[in-house]
Amino acid sequence: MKKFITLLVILTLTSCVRDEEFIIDPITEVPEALVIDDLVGIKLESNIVTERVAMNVKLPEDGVYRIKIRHGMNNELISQEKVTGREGDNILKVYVSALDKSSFMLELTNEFHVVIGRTAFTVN
Amino acid sequence: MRKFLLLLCLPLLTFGQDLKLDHSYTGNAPFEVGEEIIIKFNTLSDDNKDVYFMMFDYQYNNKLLEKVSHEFKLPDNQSASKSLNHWDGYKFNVKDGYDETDLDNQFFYGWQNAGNSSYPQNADWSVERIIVQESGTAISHNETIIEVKFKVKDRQGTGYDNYEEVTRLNWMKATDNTSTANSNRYDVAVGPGGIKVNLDNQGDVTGVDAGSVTLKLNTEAKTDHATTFKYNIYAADGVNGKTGDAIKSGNFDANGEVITDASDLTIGEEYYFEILVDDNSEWLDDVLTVTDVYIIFQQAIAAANGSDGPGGGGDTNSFDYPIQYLLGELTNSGTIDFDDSYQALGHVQGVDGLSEWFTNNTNGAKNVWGRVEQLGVSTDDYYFGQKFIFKPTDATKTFNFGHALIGDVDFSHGYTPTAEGSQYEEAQQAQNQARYSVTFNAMQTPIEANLDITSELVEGKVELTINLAEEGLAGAQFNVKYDNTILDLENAIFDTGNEMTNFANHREQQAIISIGSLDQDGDIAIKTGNSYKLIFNPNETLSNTSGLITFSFTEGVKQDGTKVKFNIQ
Repeated sequence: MKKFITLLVILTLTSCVRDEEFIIDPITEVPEALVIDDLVGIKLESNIVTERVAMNVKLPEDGVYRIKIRHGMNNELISQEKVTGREGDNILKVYVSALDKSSFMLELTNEFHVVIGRTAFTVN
Repeated sequence: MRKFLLLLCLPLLTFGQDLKLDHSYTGNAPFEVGEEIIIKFNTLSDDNKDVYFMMFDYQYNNKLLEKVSHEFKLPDNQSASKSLNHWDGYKFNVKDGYDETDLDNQFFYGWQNAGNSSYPQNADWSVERIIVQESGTAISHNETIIEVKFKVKDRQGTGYDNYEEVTRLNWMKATDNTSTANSNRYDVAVGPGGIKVNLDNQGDVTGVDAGSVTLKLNTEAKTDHATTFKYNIYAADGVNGKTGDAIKSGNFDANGEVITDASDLTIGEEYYFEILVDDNSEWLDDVLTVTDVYIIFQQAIAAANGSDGPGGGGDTNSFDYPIQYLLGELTNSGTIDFDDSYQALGHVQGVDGLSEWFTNNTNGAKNVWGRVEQLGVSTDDYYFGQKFIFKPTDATKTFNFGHALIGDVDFSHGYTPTAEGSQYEEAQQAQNQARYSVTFNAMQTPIEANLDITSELVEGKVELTINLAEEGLAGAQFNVKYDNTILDLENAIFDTGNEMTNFANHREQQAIISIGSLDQDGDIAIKTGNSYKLIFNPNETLSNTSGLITFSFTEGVKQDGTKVKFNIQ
């Protein structure tokens, strides 16, 4: 009986510990096609896109970043998003229905326009 | 005295001829390509010499003429012996030291004793040798010896610019009935028809293909939209009109040029050139922008106040170029007033039911065009200098046309006139003195200003924020396109200052929003900072907004008319 009570007490005490102490940072599942070997960068699941495409934005630290779409010939900025990301992989999307059928440059910068990574894609 | 007269006449006697050989065309000039012509040959007597034997060579340009046939005539000498020999690919080499019209010496020294230098090869020429010999009766002078029929060829591509020498007399030997020895030859000169036949002497031969004619489009819009420009070529009618169906139609190439095929047009003919823009071109809604609105307002204000406008040119004028009166005439009322400026403002605001007389996607292109040498300079024949006619010649096969669009008073999508007199003199002086001129400033190289436009996911909604840093803007316009399969526009929020006039034109079908501001008087400026915000509702859960909103067009105008090109960071 003593052993049972002791176990009950231990369980009760254990169950009273605050939850966050046991939280483990969620690990983002990165599809193989989006794995970035470098420490930072940007990668698309496919570089030929018809409607939308998944992308991985691998960041050096938590913070505000910009994802820019530039015209593939004249480099003119035609779309820009501000996104708050976490350190490491961030799986996001690029939507291309509002873009012309053409070639574009996808650019990742920090909040102050310092380029972190670039990749090209074509809208079919 | 007799000796003196003899001495006086000696030179005439010395240089006198016995006869002349003449050749000329029959029929009425001017001739046309494809037409058959006849060249006839005959002798003329200078000294009543009886001719029993004659032999002469002539040559014709086989690039300009095609021989059809020949026929000996000799009506008074039907019994004469006659022959014609023909060689292609030779041209007579005129003997130096003897005049080319001295036909008997050209025979003797230029051919008979010149060896193989008399007829060097030349693919452009053919030579014919005619011999006539009579035994009983002298060959009559003035009678036609032979007629040669030719067809006039198109000289396009031959390297020849005219038909001024299609045939040429080379030499002639003529004798009496005592001997055909060279020593017995008569002196032979050239008749009044001249040594060569000139088919252009009564007017140029018509129907000559013009070859490749280049028609160049001059407009700012061709940089991005050259192939949306179309053209039609008609036969000209009168000073500046057209007639019949189009001879040739199509689109300009990527360089903004039309290059005709060799046989499309005819040299010396006048043509009417029509320039259009494909009415389905999506860019037509971007022609009339906030800068144009501002300029038209300045003109309306100047006209209403009756004060001297900044551009000079009259008490009620603010324009720098007369043609701006045509380009800013949005209501077709014959004058530019506040009706026009509010039509312009209504366009950028997206108001429905506007005038049909200016360029936009609804109305299509309202075209103004003409030869750059004339465009912008009105005459009785050319309304605002719109000269539509061109005439290809051998010397001129390239023509420059300027094009502009009604509504585009700052020429951002058109051609700024360059013809002498196309700009008000006072405006030119104003430019030289760097005086204030709205149009002048608007047409200078735009200043660059930083602009931050970003989309962001905020509490499940997509927000587009336009952050203006440039001060002193009287107007600004931003066209954004969005993915309407995912987003619905919920609201447009302005923070541009309490007195500023704002607009947000939502073209739902095209998923385009034109948002901006304009103070038509130019008295107040748009407040800087987060001046504009568009809020969209997504119809699905989003993780981010990349690509959902794009910026298709941005423009600003300063209070002095200077255009601002935004540098989106």
